[in-house]
Amino acid sequence: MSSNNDFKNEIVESSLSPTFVNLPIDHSLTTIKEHNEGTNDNESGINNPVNDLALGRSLTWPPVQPHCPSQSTSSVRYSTDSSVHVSRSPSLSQRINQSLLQKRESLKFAAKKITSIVIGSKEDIIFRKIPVIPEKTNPLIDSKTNSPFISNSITTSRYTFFNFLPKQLYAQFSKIANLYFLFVAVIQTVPGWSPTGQFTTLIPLSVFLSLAIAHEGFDDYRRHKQDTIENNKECSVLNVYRSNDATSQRLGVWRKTKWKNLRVGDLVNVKAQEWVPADLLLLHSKGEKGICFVETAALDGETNLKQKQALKDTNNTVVSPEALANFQAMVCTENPNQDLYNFDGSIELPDGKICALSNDQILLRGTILRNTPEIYGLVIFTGEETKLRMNASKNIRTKAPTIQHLVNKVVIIIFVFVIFLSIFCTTMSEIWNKRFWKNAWYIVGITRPLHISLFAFIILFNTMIPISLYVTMEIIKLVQVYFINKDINMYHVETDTPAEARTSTINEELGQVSYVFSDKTGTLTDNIMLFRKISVGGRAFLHDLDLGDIEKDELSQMSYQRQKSITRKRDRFSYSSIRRHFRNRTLDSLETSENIQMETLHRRDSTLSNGRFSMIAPTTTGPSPLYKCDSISRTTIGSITKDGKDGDPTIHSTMNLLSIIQHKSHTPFGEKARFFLLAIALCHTCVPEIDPITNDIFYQAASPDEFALVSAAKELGYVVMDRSMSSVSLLINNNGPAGLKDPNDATKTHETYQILNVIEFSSKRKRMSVIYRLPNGKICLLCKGADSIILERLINPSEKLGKGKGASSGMREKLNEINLKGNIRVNTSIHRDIAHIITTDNITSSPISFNNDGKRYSITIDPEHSSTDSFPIYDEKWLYSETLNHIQQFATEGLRTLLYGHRYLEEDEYNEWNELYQEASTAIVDRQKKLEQIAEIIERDLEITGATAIEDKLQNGVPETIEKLRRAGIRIWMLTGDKRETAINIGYSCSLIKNHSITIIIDQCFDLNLTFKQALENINANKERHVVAVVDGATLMVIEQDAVLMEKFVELGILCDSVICCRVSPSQKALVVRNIRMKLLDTVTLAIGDGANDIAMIQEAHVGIGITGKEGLQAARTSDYSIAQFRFLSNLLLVHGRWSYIRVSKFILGTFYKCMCFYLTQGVFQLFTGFSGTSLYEQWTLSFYNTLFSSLPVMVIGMFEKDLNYKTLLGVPELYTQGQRNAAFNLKIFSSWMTDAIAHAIIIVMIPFFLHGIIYKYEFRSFGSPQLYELGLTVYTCVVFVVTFKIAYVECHNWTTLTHVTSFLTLFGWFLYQTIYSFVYPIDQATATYDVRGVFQRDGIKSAFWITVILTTFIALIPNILAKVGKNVFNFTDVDKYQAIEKDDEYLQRIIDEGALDTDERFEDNDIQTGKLKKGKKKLYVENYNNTSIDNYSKNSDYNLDDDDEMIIQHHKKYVERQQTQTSIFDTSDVNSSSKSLI
Amino acid sequence: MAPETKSREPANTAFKQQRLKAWQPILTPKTVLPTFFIVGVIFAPLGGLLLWASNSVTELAIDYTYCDSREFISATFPQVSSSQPDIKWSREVVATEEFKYTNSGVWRCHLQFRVPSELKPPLFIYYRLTNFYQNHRSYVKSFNANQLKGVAVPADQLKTSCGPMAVNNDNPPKIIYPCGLIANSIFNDTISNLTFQQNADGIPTNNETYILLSKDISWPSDRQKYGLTSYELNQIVPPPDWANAYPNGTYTADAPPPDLSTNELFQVWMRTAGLPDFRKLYSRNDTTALQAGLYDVSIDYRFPVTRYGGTKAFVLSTVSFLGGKNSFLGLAYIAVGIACVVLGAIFTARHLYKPRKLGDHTYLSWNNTQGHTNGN
Repeated sequence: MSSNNDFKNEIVESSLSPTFVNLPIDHSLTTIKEHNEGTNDNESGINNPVNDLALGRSLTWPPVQPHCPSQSTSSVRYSTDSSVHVSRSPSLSQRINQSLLQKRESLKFAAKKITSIVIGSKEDIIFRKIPVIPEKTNPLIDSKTNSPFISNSITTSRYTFFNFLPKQLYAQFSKIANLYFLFVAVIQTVPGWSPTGQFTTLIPLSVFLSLAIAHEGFDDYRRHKQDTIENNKECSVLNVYRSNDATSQRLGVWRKTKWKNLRVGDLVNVKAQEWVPADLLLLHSKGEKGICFVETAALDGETNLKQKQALKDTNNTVVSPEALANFQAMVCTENPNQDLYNFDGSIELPDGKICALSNDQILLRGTILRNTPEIYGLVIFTGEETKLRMNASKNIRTKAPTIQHLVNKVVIIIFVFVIFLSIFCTTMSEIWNKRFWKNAWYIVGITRPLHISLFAFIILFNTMIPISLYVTMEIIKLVQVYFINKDINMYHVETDTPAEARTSTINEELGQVSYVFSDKTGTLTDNIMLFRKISVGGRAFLHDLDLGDIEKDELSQMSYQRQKSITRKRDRFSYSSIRRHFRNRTLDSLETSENIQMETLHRRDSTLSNGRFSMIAPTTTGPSPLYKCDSISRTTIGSITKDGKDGDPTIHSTMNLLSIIQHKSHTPFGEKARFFLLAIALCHTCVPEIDPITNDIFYQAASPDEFALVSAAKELGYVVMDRSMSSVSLLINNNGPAGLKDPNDATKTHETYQILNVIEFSSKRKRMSVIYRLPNGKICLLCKGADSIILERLINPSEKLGKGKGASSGMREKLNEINLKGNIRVNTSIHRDIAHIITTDNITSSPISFNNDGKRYSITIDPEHSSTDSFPIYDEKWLYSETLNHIQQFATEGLRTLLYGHRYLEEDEYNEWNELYQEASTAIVDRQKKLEQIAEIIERDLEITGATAIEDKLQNGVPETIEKLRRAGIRIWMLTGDKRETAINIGYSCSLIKNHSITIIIDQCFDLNLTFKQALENINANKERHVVAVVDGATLMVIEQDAVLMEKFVELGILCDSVICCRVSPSQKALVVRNIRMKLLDTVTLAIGDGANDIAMIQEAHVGIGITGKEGLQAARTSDYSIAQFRFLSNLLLVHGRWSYIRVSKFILGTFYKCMCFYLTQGVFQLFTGFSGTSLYEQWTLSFYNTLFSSLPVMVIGMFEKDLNYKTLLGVPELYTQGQRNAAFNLKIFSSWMTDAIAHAIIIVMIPFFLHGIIYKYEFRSFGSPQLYELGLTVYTCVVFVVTFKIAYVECHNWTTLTHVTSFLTLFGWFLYQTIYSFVYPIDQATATYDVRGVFQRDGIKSAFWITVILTTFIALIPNILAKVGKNVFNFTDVDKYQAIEKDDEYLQRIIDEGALDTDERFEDNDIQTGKLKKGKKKLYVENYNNTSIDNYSKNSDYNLDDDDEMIIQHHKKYVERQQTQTSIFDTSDVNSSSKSLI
Repeated sequence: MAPETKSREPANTAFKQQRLKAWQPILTPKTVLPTFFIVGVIFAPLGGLLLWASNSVTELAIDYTYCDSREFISATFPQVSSSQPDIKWSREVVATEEFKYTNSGVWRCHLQFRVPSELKPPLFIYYRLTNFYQNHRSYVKSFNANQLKGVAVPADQLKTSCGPMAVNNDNPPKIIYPCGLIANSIFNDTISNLTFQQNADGIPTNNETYILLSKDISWPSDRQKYGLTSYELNQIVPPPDWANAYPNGTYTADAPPPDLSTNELFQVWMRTAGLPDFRKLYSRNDTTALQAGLYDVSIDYRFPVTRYGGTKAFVLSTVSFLGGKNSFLGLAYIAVGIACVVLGAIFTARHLYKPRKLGDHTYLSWNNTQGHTNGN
């Protein structure tokens, strides 16, 4: 009892702490009180709920008390609900109570621990507690809802049978246009109001709405079906029986059950290749050491297998169903949430041990068990609460195209027009009533109220807003999507991935993009990491064993590109540079021994088979060429070449390193180098897998970087052979990689390193550490991470001797200083200068003296003459500065750098720390945070082990694509998590930054206001210059907080040609996009990315593009369009985007035109009816107009129009700007179309009326004047002719067979309809106002009818054609121009080639041009621009180049002037490089 | 292990790759000038043909709204198209109890006109009304098709279609047959046959009558719409404006309701004109030629047009293959044709003098405007 009170007090105490006051604690208190009462007052426990539970449900129920503070309630609830009591035994209940007491003790401890650790925890944290009761028959109770845990069935469908219709109707009528039509339909159904029939709006509206609703319904039906299939899948769940014999042992039997019947607390088994039915806690795996593998492709798209491992305790206990049947525990988990990568929980085992549960023990629904025979698991989250579903449900943001705003505007304009027209007609009819109708004795009894008259006119004119617009637009967009999906030019052969449009609503946005926000890794780059350079002991080495392979691919690829001849000069340039480089390499390789040859061979093997950094187990997929390293970026080669050219031979091959290790292993350098390689091989979380057939080793890596590192270690002789939770075993080839080929080599040693702790990588920590017990018994911490992070944690070299705890503060300050200085450098040459800054200390002398030694050049691989140490280590400071130098240099080359540090730990220190660590690692609340804090304690005072540099390969065609997009007037923002130097260098290599660019670096270390001011001034002063701004995440954070700064930043960003945001988080990416989107309301933004971190950005931008890359399909899934490679973006935007934009624009214009033209004839006709509201057309004929007699031509133009050809659009990106300027659909163009419509309507009405004798006095029909229907028939026919010809031929540029067929069908359909109608129209219809019967049979064969129609059509269209011709002659656009140009393929090709010249090269050419143009005139121009063929061309063609000399010259002068100003800027900037910097 | 997955490579077909063969014309003077010439060459002669056809139609139209006003609307005779037709007027008041809209006496207009040359059959007599809105929304639908067909449509059904003209004011109301505004306002002037007064040489003839019949003047398809009514006589009354034509304004066995299936004038009237200025066929002669000379026609003037500001006219016409007289069509064709030829000529001149250069791309906007592509 006393202990109980103690416990109670404890809790109360803790609850007093301000951060720990929460309701659940009260619950637990009351529960515990109940317990107390139960144990004291009622020893038999009969009336005690807890005892009921214990007795009734499980005989050996361990009285587990939850160690989470808030759990007790659910166990009590559970017991009160249980109604089945099997047996009761007083002795048992006593036992239970006893152990309850014990448990409380431990709980008290647990609570204490938790309260001490949980600082700043959220108040509303509630835990889910799941008692493991194999025998249970009733579902467990969710303490949050006090009802059973939700079932495992899932609903991806959005509607149920009952709410579908209401919800859909609501959705449909929330569209303004639909509401409008509903209004019209309603007033039309009032008898006597409508001049055009009662249901002619209602029926089409219902049809179109039904289509839309049916589409939605069908989608949902499919979802329902999928749900049903999914919910009815089968899995095995444990059923517990009692054996019949005296022992009455419990037997566990697996029984099949449907997924939907699974409940929280169920024990299930999953076999290999089976889907995991719910979120499971892994209790036991038949795999080695409780390890199992899951494929998470369906969840996050990542194709690599993930490793999970059961807790040792549970894994060893529940090895069979029987053991499972007798297993009892209390599992405490976090509440359902959507975090796929973290899990906090704990399990209390029957023996009272509390173990922490992490994501390692959780198998999520949506994953597949691989490479593991079978696992046992406990269901912890079911159905909608699984992480899969928690993640799925949130993506709701729907994107509406920008053009929609304009369409809405147009709808409103037309609506206003309709109202205006109706009011006008009503007024006029009133006037007529007063002045004329009163005398018209033949019309009596017309007393129509004003409002009815108004409604009648609204009904008459309402269809000027096309009722079918949205539905038809949906159809044409689907066709556009079809073409996007089918474009073979966007098909990536290597990955068998075509482009895929996941939405059709925003196709035209693709043609209007002004801003592209691009992720770097995986989007601009390939996300293939190649281990490239290494810095150890103050020396840098180049790891280039794979370059030979790569070069071949590079060559073949280039020849491919040359065939495409898009960027000829550029390729030639890089080709030669590669050759140059290759020569150097060949010389190098001649020097080295045959070891390298063998290594290369080996490497090639491994590259082929291990090409994928994240490999699904080879048994399932086998070697795949998917991620085969196919090329190395030009950057690296370029930079390497440059190094060689500059005569800087500091870079040696890693082969040299190996021979040093081999032959001079006992020199300080050798020691360091060897230790570093060891560190590379040890400090990671990769898991090796050995293919049983080929004996090849594969690595399962969490990141491509790690894969590159471990593979490099393997190539360098440190092969990770096996890895378990507690140890890593290495195969070390003391002879280097050559030893690998010969398994019997005596120099090969196996070493096993005991893993003590792994502190995992997180994006926040930017580092990871592993603590090993080395074979010699020492404890060593290996840490690798981003250089800035590790630098902070290095021990100050000068103080190394007197090191103590926290002794490094001096060094740290200095480092901070250095970092600050590094940041201060804000100019383009930052990469060159930072190294110098860092060495401005007294450190500087060392490298100089080293250089003076000349020893740098004396590295020879000569084992015989190793008496002198050619790689001296001077002192710690030197080492330090050299390493920093190297890191800087690597970063400059665009490589990703990692710094390794290590520290030997004393036994005591480690133990002390480990205790803290273990405590933190079992924490349930904020474990991650606590672990970080604890890791901080040990990750300090590191010594530099070395640094690595990994190349992040650019994707094919990225610079070309970026150049194209730039020419298309698209500004590209690169948003990356990389550091500034790397980002800038990638920027250079992918031509985001040009050699002549002004680079503005925005850094929080400076007055941002001033920065912005100066930058804006500078930009305004040099309007022609290419400007790039660079900003980092930390600065963005400052900017974010200040609205004024943000405003200025956006303003600056808009002015810049490119912006690079480095070190930004996913949310910052989205923030940047949002700010631009909000600032520039009319411009379209596009975000492109491939990883989960880009999702926010992709959803934020107008258009989200996903790269179906290696980081999985996550980004692609949430995107609107997905492509396989960045370079396809140019096809997607320049061609498909533009086409879609043109098509949609013309479609919308055409649709409004045809409606306006047709329905306005009614308005014109009112002049002849005394504004009485008579319809010129029979009601059904009238309502079929939109669908039958005018829809095909506009649809064809919306689907197949090509104002320019694929090649032209791709080759001349400047044409793209049309979309950005909204040049194909704006109010001006709209009004010109409307003018056409109005003119046509008037012509179409007036010409036949003239012929019928209004102005001229007689008509020509022998039977007298035509009846209303006959008149309407003629006018209608004219409308169909004019509209069809105007849309299909005058406005459409691309006349295909389809154009002709559909035009014919439309006209033919009209006459067919008339023929049939004239035969079947009922005679005795009560309201047969329109005399349909027999009219067309008669009129159709009359020449007069045809002559009228032809005349009207021509009179209407000739002015239209004339206007077009006039525009082509006097006011032509770029499009008109290129339509002419593309008739001549050769000329077009030349323009394309010319345009594709790199701007830099144009700059080079510039001087020559200037000189020439001073003397000569256009002749030189012709020479310069058109080389040889233009002369021939101008002779052959009808077009004469000699005309308009002046314009050419004028234009050219302008061009040259511009160039000159630029060049002059350059001259100065070259002389004084600092003038390039702005600040 | 895994089944060979199908390649997702899109098929390289002309359709899917949007490479369908297409003609991509550009509307430039050069490309359109042949079209214009062709159109001109076709239209102008066609116009001439139409004009000729129109001119071959003989037509005489006399506005008799004011009976003696001597206003003729038009008269075209092939031989003496320029000469004024010799028209004489006279008016007399006749006392007739026949069908009239007013209670005042009925005028009888006598028209005398000269036909300068023989007119070949068929010959048509029309009456023409202006400013009469048969297409008024309330008017145009004011009839009941079933009633006209002969069905005894009950009164309540008529109210929707015939509106105010469905039943009379009696108690109980009687059905108006034929109901509706259209029937009520039927054109009730009577145009007589032509009387041959003098032959071409001015010699008086013995008042030979040129017979014109109101038969085959309605569309054959229209005739199917009408039938003998199956109403009882006591159920129905004539329309209010017909009342004068019937004793006490009621139908009796002696004055039965009209047989609409044979009353072609009624059928013609019921075929409402689409425009307020219209003419309707009154009678025709398909066999006999009208010899040159002076003719008399008398029209019983009952139909009031001046009240609403309208006019009415008597029209005598022959037809051509195109129908009636319509020189506008021919003129329009000629005009369009000439315009096209002129435009074609202008384009040719433009092309010869200043041909358009093929896509000299230095004109392109992005080369001329400094701005959106900095650095170029």
